[in-house]
Amino acid sequence: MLFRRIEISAFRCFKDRVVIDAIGDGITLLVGDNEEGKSTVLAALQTVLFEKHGVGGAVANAMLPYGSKVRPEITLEFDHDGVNYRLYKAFCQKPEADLKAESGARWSGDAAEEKIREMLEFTPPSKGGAKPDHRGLQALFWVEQGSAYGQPYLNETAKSSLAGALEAEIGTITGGERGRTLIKRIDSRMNEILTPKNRKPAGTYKDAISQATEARGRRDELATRLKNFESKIDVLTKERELLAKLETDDPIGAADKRLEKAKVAVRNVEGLESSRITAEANLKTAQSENKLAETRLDQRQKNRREAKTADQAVAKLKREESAAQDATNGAQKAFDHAEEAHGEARTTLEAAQQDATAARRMADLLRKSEELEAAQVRLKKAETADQKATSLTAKANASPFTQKALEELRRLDGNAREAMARLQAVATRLELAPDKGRRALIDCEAIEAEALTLTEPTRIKLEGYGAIRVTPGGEDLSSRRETAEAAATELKLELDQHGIDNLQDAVRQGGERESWLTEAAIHSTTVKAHAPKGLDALRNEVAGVEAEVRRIEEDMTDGEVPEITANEASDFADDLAQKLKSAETEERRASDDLKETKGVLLTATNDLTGGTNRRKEGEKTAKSLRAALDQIAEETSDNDLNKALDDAIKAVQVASKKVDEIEKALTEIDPDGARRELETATEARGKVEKNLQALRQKVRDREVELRTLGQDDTAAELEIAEGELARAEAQEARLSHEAEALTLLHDTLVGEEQVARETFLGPVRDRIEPYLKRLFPGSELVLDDQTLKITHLRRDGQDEPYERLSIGTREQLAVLVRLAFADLLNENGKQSPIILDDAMVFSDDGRLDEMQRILDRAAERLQILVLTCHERAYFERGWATKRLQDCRG
Amino acid sequence: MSITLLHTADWQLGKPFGSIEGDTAALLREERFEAVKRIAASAQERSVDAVLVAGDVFDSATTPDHTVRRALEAMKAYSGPWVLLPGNHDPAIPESPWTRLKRIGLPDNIIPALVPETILLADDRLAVLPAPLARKNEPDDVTQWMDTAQTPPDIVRVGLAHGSVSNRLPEGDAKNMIADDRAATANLDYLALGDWHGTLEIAPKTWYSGTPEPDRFPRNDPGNVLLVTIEELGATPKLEKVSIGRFQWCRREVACGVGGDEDPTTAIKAAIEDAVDRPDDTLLHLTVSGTVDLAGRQRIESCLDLWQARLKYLNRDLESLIDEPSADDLDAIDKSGFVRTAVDRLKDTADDSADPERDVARTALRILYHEHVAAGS
Repeated sequence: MLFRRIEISAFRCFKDRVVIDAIGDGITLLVGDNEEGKSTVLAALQTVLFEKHGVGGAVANAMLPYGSKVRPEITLEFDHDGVNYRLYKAFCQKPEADLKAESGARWSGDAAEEKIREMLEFTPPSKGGAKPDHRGLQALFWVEQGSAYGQPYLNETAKSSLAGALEAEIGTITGGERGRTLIKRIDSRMNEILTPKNRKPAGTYKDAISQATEARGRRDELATRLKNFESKIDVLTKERELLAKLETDDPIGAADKRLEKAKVAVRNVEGLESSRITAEANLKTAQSENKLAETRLDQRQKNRREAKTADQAVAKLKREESAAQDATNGAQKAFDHAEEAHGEARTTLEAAQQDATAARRMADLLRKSEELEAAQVRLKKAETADQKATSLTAKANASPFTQKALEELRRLDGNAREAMARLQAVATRLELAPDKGRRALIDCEAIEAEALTLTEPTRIKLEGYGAIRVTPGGEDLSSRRETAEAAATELKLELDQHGIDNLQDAVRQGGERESWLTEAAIHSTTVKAHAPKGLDALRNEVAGVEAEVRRIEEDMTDGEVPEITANEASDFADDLAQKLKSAETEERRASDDLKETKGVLLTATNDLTGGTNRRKEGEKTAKSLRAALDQIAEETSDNDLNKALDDAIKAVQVASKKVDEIEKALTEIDPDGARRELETATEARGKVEKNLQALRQKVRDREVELRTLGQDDTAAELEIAEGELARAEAQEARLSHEAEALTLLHDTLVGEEQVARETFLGPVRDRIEPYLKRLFPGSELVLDDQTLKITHLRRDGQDEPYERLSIGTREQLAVLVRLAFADLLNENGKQSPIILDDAMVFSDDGRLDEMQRILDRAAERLQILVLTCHERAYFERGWATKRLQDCRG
Repeated sequence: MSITLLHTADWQLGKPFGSIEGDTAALLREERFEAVKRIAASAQERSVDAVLVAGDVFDSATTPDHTVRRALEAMKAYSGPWVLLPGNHDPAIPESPWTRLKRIGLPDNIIPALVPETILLADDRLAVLPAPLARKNEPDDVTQWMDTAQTPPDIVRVGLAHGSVSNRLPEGDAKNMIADDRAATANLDYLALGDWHGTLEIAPKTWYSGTPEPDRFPRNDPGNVLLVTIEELGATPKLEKVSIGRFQWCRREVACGVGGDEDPTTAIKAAIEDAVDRPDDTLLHLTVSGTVDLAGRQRIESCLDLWQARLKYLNRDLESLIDEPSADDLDAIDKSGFVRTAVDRLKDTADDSADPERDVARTALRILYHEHVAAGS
């Protein structure tokens, strides 16, 4: 559709006829001031196309100009699919609709409405006025005032037209609602058997896995139980066979025979062992007698050796006694000598001690005397300075001109001056310039000054003139004067009290007082320097030193003090102390020698006493041994002893031979082997019987056990469990396969849907891109493929949601999207004019300029009606312009 | 002189039918006792000289007392001798149904043949030479003793054994082997065998009676007992196959996609109807193979759901039925749009024999088709 002419009368603010004609293909600028009716033109276009001529009520009433009952009429001439039409509608009174084609075809009333609806593909309201949903594509392309920055409005007609255009463009269409339903169903089926997030088994699939695991466990348990039963059967079979064999073989009889044989062998061994014990006892007796004879002979020889040894020892002890006597004599001599040397060293030491003490006392006396002299000098200086400080301080304290008194005087003086200045400030100044020879007089006094400052009513006589009375200021002046006088009086009283005439005297005397105090402080510092702890402390110190000097003098016996300094006396005392130290060392050495020789003497004396005693003891022993030896020889002779020994040796030989013979016999019959065999055979007999009994018991026990186990019907249960396991595993496998299939199906569908979405919006993107790059270079506008709404602007990789963009940017983008949609539809044979009613009011100059260029470009293909009150803003573009005021009839 | 025997085997009383799910297993288990009752009635009716049970009387060594007692109860209707032979399912081990039978106490006409010793019956006109199994698998031929078994002269010698006849059986494991010429070498008038569940003459005078109540989807001829009449010594015995079994276990295979456009359910329906005459007593194992489109698969599954409700038991094996989505299937899901693109991608994967995800993609397409149908409805 392309507009060609619009005629409006008696519609809203247009009481009279308004005609906009010769509307061209591209841009037409409709200019009108505020309230002149631009938006009414848009309303008229919406009304003539989308409102039914018979509409009544509030919708019809809104068409009427205010306060009049007329017949609103609108005529629209337009081209559609290359054919020119003229649509006429009248409302309210005698409503009418008439549509005429240039071909001559004509539709009236409802037929005209229906034809329009068919051409523009909109859905009319069932009753009442048309809303945006009922205005077809025009709801998208006609932008009303103040709404340009909102999302482009897409009603069902617009959506379907755009979808149709997109389908025509991209060849295939998306699966749409049906595809999404399928995805939802697949999703829902997946969620029954897989977790949504990680796609782990869930629901029935998870149950199937658990069931298979349980069934496997049950099968394994039963299989084990059956195997256990079968292996026990096998064991029982073998045990029964063994038992039968044993019962035939009679192992107990065989064991008994073996045991009897072993017993006989052991009895034989025991007989021989008894004989051996007797033979061994005989041998031992013979050996003891032999030993006794040998011992007696040995003892005799030993006694002889001992007697001889004792004699030799006595001779040796005598020699040692004599040597000890010599040593004792030598030691006595050495001790006597050492005692003499020690006495001499002691005498020398005592003399040195006396000398050293006298010298030290002399040195102390001299040092203390020097110290006393110095302290007395310091005390004198301190006392002098203290007297001066006390005198100056007393003088300063007698002066009344303290800092505080001075400050008070200064304050009073300042007050008096300030009060006077304030009085002077408001006083009347009178400058006199008398003629030569003339004078001015106050109280008959001629005034000499050239100017007067008057602070009180004054009568002035002017020669040649008479008198004038000057009354300065007013109440303020008199109060200031009183203040000034009071301040002066107060100052005067204070000065009088101190006996001075002015402030300067007070300041001078205050300065003198300060210098006395300073001087007194300097003297106090001197006192402190000489007597840091105070004068009394210093006096005490002097008295103390004096007392000490007196005490040392009294201690000195000879009383004569040599003419030397204290340091020299001290050095002398140090020399004497050194000599004393040498004497002490010498005395210690003599004392050590004395101790040592005394020890040697003692040892030698002890040795001598011990040697004498040992010699006496040895003589006694030797005598005793000799007497004993003589007595034994008398009792048994040496020959008797030798014969007894020979007899004993022979007896041992006989007994030993007997023992050897028995040992040989025992070795031949192996007593240990015989005993072991008896033990083994006894044990074996017991074991054979026990084992046989155990085997019988075992067979019985196993039979009882198997009797119970055999009742369990385990084989049948196992077969059932295997059946259940097979079914559970089949179910698990089926669900696993289904899960894989659902996953593949879901991913494939979702993947393809994504691709389809991207493809679907391709043509829209292609149309927007040329506009967008002029306004927002390098950016991308993203639309929702379902709603076709603008979701965000992508700039420099950042997604900016549409709602967060500035109003200006939003209105520009919304216009661009409409242009793109219009291009798309236009190329697919659906043409609609675009109406922008004050659509770019929020755009800055630069953007507005760019938008105008864009509109220029779009207008090569599209019809655009721009409604504005800012003609100047569009002037330079040279667009076809209709001024509303020119359109009024 | 004539001797009449009823030869049966492989009762496997107490068999649990673990692979059959649901209540059917219990019915099958119960029916085996009913089969024994029918055998007893038949034997009584025909006044046979003896009933020979050639092994596997019980299903396992752990068959409980209750089952053993029920077996005795089921045999009551025939008062003549029953010779019961331990087989590989119920070998004569130290603890077994046989020891339990002994403890429970059994009537005189019930003769467990637990040792290889001749049993004289029918007033000493019949010598039964049993070869019991004393364990599941006997490495040696336990019938060998029959060759040297001494019997009174002029007596019918009948061998009774359980195992596989060497080199004769079409399938089965080579355990408990029996020489195929045993009847001849042991001079037997008849060798009654058990273990093979179908009725089968395996060698001269040597027969498997098969199980009287089928217990698996067979490729042989179960559900019978053999009525054996030996007119005189050395004569070939006369055999009568008597049907005893109740439940029919059928196995059918249907191949789809071979004939072209035909509805696959037509062939399936025909195959089932051909196999089944008493649906309530029929267990069917149906294998459907070949290729089918997605719509066809859905029809097949609906069809089988119907039959599952009608039959005692249906075991459907569709492992070898490969989906081959048709253009119509794919168009039905979507003709265009992203769903169609996804469908085409899955189809490419499903058609690529080298793609490891091939099977998964097929299932994915099947699910999508199902969901499409469900969403549409």
